Amino acid sequence: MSFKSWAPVIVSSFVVLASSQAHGKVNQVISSLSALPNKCVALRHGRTCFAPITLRFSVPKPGRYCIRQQDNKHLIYCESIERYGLFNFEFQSKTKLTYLLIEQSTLAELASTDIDVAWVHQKTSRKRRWRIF
Amino acid sequence: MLKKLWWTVVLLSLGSTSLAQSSDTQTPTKDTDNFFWNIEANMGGVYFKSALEDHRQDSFIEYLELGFTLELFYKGFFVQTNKRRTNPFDVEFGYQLHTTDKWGVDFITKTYLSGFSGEDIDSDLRERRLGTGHALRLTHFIDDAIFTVDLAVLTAALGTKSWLVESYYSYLIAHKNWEIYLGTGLTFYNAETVNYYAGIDEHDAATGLDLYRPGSGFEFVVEANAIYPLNEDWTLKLGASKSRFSSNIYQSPLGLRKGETLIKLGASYVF
Repeated sequence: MSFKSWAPVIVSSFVVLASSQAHGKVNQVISSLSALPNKCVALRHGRTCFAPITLRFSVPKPGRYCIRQQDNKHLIYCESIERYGLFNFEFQSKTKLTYLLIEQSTLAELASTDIDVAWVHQKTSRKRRWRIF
Repeated sequence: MLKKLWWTVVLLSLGSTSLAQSSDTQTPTKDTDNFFWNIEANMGGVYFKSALEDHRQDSFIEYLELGFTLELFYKGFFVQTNKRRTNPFDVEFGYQLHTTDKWGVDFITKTYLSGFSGEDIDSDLRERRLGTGHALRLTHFIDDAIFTVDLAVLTAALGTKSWLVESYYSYLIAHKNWEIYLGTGLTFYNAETVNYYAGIDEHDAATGLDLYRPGSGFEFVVEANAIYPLNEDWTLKLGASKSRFSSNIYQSPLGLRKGETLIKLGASYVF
């Protein structure tokens, strides 16, 4: 049998192998947590910033998972999910906050994401003249 | 004389600002205790119904508003635009004479009255010049509100005894990321000022109008302005104001409306 006759078999074998590996990667979901938007913009430095935020998260196995702030033990949202979850909420803060994805049964921290706070106007030294607080 | 002296003070203050910038070992940032600056480029649309009945916004370009606003503060001297008022191009030059947590006293120069000429209304009426005034401003800070009273002497070009007292109360409502300013004001114009702007003198009477000397008068205004941050560089601005003159002003044979109306919608780029 010449190489030419074996070539299609060899090539198709590589294709099948590569395809199965890629397929395996797709199925292998890792823990992740992301925020959209991930920045809240207030008018002036020092003001509480408000923004509607969507947290998207993925987990490696079905179970009950929660969201909480890094500096607060209180779980602000919990949900039983297979792979993916969504959480919409109103962000309110004067400073950057970090949110954690928690596995409820073990309280293990699986992923984190930051929501930054920015301002159009930095602090004004003329607060007494145009005081707004 | 007073005007010359005032402009000298303003120019010196601006000069000293730039000198300070170049001589400091540390470059002044945008925000320090002694130095502050803010520049914004404004663009948007405006609907303006002026006091003159015959004045109209005829072309599209007259509905557009493009320009810059500048704020500078250096050791008491300042150039500022009053964000609490609807007209952001209302520039005030001044010096902070005294300030406490509750009270402030400034010496300012600003334009209190817009002038007009006969060309604006297709007439041979005499020109009414800009009503620029030098004023002492007393400010009272009340939590989220400010109350100001300006005692202003208008430029001699209007008459040597032209003056006004402008009071304005502004209240801030901070709702989420919005800043909403609600304001109301009352201005008293003395007889010489009203006669200059709304009166009909011998020159104007030559156009066929009756002589008219209305005497002192009032203007009452209500305003609402809102600012919203679109992102770190851009803000959305909305504004509306409505004023009402005392009857002796709007009954002038000049053809005046009972008041002025201003509505604005635009965006500003903050440098």
